[in-house]
Amino acid sequence: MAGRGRGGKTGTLTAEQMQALGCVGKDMPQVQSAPPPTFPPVLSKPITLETTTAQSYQLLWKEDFLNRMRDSPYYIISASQEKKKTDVKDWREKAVDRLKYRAQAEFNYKAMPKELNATSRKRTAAELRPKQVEKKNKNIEDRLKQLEQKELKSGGGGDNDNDEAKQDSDSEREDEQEDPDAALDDEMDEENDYANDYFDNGEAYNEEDDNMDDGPVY
Amino acid sequence: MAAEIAQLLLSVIQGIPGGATNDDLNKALSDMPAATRVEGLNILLQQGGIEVLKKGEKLIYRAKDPQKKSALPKDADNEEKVVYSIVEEGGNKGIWIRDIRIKSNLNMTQLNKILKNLETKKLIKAVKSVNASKKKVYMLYNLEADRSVTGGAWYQDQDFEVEFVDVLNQQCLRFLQMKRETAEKKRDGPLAFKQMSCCSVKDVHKFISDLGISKVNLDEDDLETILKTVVYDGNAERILQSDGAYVYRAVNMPLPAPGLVQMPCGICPVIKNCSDCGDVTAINCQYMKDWLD
Amino acid sequence: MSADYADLCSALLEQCFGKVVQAVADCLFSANTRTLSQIVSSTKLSRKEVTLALAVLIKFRLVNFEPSMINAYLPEYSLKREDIICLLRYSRYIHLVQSKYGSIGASIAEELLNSGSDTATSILVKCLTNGENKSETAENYRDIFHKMITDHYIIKTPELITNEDQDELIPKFLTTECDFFVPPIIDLQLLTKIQSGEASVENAQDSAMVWNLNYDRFHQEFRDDVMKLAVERKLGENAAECFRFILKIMYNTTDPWQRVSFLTYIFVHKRLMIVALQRASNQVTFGEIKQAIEKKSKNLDLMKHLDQYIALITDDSLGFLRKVGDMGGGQYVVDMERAFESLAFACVESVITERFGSKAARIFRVIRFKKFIEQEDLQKEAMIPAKEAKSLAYNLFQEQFIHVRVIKKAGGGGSGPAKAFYLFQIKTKDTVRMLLDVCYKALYNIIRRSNYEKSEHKGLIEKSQRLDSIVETMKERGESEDYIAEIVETFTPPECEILNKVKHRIKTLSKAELTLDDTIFLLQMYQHHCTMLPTGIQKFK
Repeated sequence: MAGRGRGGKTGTLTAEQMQALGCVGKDMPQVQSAPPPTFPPVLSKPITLETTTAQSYQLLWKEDFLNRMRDSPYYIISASQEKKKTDVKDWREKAVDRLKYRAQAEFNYKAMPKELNATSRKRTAAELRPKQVEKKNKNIEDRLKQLEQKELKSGGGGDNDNDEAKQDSDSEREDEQEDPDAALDDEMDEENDYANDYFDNGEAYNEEDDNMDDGPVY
Repeated sequence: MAAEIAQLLLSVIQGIPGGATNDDLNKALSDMPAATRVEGLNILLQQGGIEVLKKGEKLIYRAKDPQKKSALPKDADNEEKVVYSIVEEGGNKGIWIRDIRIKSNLNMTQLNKILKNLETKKLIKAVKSVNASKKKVYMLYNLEADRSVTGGAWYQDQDFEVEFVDVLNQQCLRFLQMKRETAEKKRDGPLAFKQMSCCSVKDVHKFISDLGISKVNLDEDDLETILKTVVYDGNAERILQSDGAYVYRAVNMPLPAPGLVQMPCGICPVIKNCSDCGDVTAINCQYMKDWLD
Repeated sequence: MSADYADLCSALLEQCFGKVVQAVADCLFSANTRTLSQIVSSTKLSRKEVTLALAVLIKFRLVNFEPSMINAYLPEYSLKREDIICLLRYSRYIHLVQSKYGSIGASIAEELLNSGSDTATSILVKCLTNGENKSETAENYRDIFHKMITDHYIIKTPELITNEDQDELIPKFLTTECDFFVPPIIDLQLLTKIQSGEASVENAQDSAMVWNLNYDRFHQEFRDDVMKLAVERKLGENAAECFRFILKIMYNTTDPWQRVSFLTYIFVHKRLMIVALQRASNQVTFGEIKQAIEKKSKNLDLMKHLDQYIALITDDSLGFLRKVGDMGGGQYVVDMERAFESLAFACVESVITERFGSKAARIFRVIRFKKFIEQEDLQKEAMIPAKEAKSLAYNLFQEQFIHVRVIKKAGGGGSGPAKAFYLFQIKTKDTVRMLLDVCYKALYNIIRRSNYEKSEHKGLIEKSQRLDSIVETMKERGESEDYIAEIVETFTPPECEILNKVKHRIKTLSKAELTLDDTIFLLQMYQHHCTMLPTGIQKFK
């Protein structure tokens, strides 16, 4: 019923609609001989309201907060950017505040996927290698289990094609996963290891802990 | 009220066969000031409800009978009679010339001539219709054109009187706001306040009539139309009463100006063209520049 | 999620966390989930940078992770898109806490926001060392911290499930709702020891309990403020106070974020299921309201005319309150759906008035009241000359504030196009969505412009900051005023003038950022209460 009304989605009208809306003859938008101005005149100016005390408070706090964030370890500057910045010798680089905050980076790595913890990964890199096979085996076992379950769910029948397609994409994804060790080795060679500075503070205790408890990781 | 006065005068005039003189009116409506009487008579004349005749030194006001056929002269020819009766059938909504031509089977030149003839004899008249620009409709001379043709009080020859409507809209709002302010001063609880700030159409009609800003006679329906525009402007609310009538009251907007219109993008006519590159960007925006400086 | 929202989120993240995090988030924004390797390859950043960025995003609760469907050892990351806008509201959260709990509360909230999430001990140590109220006792800090938890402004993140003999690749969390708001035991003596360096935060017993600000509790307060302000503007202060009590009583029995539908949906194994067919009761009786007001209010007029004030709110066209029964002197429900529909309309109408003029707003309201209307009737009802009415309606249509519905006339014969009626109508959901996108774009523009102003005048801004710090040091050293004045004068008057101009611009832009969020928030509340769109408000996310 509302088939043509869908014109509304794009905001343009068919000639028929224009006619029905009464836009005919002299009421039709005039054909422009020159392109319309980039910034046509506007009816009114933005309304200006006085700044409330609540707003002033928030404005001050926000400015402060953003400055703090910029100086915090959570404001990540990529290696190339970092270099550029020191070249220019930004006065803030020297600010004592910055150093103080930089030193305070804290991540609760226990509550994050292990792959994000660069320090623990480094230490365990050597230990990882012999366990690799075991891990892969387990993965395969897991995958078999999953496939079994899937088959049970689909109950055979006509769904086979679908399943096959899924398997295909699954294995594709599997392929995409690079060997974590290879990636690690690459990184080990990198010299601009600025990120490590962030992890040192306050994590020493945790590291110790990790070491002690390091049973079979995978 | 002017309309009522006119009605009163008309009934007196209709009551005297052969027409009423000024003396007759004076006798019948002794408590009516002369100025008011003149105003009422003018309205009746405008509406075509009465006609003025001169009898010796005296003026006589005679009621026109809208039902009465204006006499077609005896010497009228057949074509004239046909056209006349077609126009007559059209009533006070009038009839288009094209329809007359089809019904009468006359050619255009002939028909134009006849119509012209009847017009000069003041038997029919041509009225511009507000619905279709440049289209005239014909009707009997003594008829008052229907609202659908004239557009009612808001049209002066087929032109919508924007300023007139705007002034009435503002005055109606002013009245509602005054009522609200008065009600605010009395402290009899919230419901009493609410009731006191409500205005009936009749109240508003009286206020507008007393203001005397309207050259034409407005009835309550006309004012209800205006009051609705006040509601559509978001400045008033329309509340249904138990008797089926509506009352109106001024209200405040529930929100302050939204943040979006406190900056240029909220009122920007070209926001659709705005992006990171091209002619319209946040950096080279003229509105932004005007606003910030 | 619109492109405008994506741009805004990207800009907000850049503002707070820099370009690396921005790039990672951009990558996550465009997909449901991504693995670490996928992010690395698509952003072209180093693995180290990506892991760090993810750690930041997780810490600030903007990214979730889950084991992949295909490999239980492979984490997949997803962006909490709806929550990114909360970054914009940090200053509002702080302000609310400041007004409710004073500066102690504000500094607790501030430390929580600075660090994204943290343990109670760690937060309190930071407050005691960094905070402006160093004179306050640790006890006061602890009490306020506890109060904020019991008031639900602070919430515990789901606790980590620790498994002694297995070091998990992907941590798992306990999700027992009931202890999200149980205050932790805070060892005050340990706090003092940590402060004096005799112990470290790691010695604390509460290291497993990590706390956050509970954004939705703040949003509930903001939403209620919007409603109360609307009642106050329209019906006066007493009615607003009355409404405040009604809301308070309602929350005793009702989930504040209950949505419009009678159906409740949940996800079970990634499948949508309907689990309930009834909306929980949130009735408030006259008796309850009366009792609460008599107990807690000193407003005599409100007490005297309470029934009238309730009737006033109930009868008002805003539709905030609905009478549903006569028990207990009258039973009422707060109708969030109608309330936010009314308020969204008020907002849209204001925007139309400013952008297209008051006659256009009149046309919009005529369509709203009539639901469906033809052009011809529209101009008559609005009392606007035909030509102007057509052009205004056309503009509103073009900018998607109003819509057209076509009704084909049956029959019509074989010749010529079938006759059809074209009726104007308002599709509120579409209009609100469009306007929200305008808001997102506007906010993005503000941030972009502000960055531009700052970088354009970087040299000058830095010079003045440098000068300020020099002067400050000089004052501390007790240098003579003349000498200080001499230094200050190295900043030339034309420089001064430009700097003031720039500062003014940046301030105007920052204020617009705040006020724009008011509009965004209001329209989002409409979406939450009047549609089934996902809005990011979930109980205890």
